[in-house]
Amino acid sequence: MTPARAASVTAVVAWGLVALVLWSATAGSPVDSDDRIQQFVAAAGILGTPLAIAGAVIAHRLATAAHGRDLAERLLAVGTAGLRKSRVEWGGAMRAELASLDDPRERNRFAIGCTVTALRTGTGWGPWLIAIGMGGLFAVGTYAASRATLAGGRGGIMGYTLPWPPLLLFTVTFFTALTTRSFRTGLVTGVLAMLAGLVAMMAVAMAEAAHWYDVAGVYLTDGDYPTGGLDRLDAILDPVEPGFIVGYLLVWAPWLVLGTATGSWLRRRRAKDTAPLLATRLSA
Amino acid sequence: MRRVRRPSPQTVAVLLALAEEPERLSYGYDLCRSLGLKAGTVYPILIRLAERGHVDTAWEERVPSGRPARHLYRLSFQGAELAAELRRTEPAADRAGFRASRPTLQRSVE
Repeated sequence: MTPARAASVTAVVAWGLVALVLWSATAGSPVDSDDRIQQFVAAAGILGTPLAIAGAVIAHRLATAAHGRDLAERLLAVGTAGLRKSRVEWGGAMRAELASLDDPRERNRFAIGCTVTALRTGTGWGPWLIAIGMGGLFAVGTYAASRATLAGGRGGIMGYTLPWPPLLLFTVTFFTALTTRSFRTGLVTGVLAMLAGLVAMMAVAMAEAAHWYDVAGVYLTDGDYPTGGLDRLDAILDPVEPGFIVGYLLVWAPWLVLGTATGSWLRRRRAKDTAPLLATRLSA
Repeated sequence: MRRVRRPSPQTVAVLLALAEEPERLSYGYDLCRSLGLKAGTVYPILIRLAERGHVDTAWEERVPSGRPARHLYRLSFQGAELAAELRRTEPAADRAGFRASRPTLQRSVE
């Protein structure tokens, strides 16, 4: 499959899945059909479009990198694509070593081992440090949002946890990809930052949910009063409902891909612009 | 002061295997085979050893047509000293269960 086709198919499938889930979710809605269609189009556009574009970017990258005569070669090509500068030679060394093997079993075993190595050692400590920083930022942000949004009976923290983390993830991955010149480093940084942020946010949210249960007896996420009474444990566990976690990941994840893609695109463009200038200076 | 960490048994095995014939350049996959270790174990060790200056690396010069040049590895002077030190201080390394003392890295390059 060509990279362009892989990207198109992934975008259509991603958007279609989001549309399907949203349409089924609004099926029981009491609003009239015109309003329902408007809500559906808005939600599918806001949620589905970033996901479709991010899916297309990843699919295009994978399809471009995955070249080779068999699965082992394609796997290792993807695993060693976009390694940081100091590791590029090692990626080439592992691919060259694979090319010298003929037995399919040996090739598969070798490719898997080397791919794991490339994924484990390819990015250094930078992404982990950024992830720890993002975890701290998400924790502080969640605490601040909880205290700001629930005081005085206003809405819950969802107004913060849905729009702000994507913006942070986009910014971090954009600058990481721009400065490291690596799509892969940007992506790894984004994924680690997202997971660290999610864990930190959940931990603070549970503590804050206990606080707001004691103070006002409301849900932390949306500030609603429960209809049938609320158990303290239920209130504390409400922010870590699997539905919320999946929802957050689906809303946040596309933005780290988009940040990485934008950062590396800008880097490539700058490099293209400066290359002729450099050549002129060198030849002068 | 920099902390000197004791090398893992696998790292010792790689160092001792390369020290068997210190002048010879070896292929990564042949090291995996001769030591009975997986590529996912040997390559991170080679990367680390090369970054610390214990292993010298080079690309194959005479390459048969149809395949890319392979990477070659040999102990550096510093690596040879470390291997000698390990032999002295860790006689158990040879009995670590890896086939470090297997006589040949068959397809090594002179």
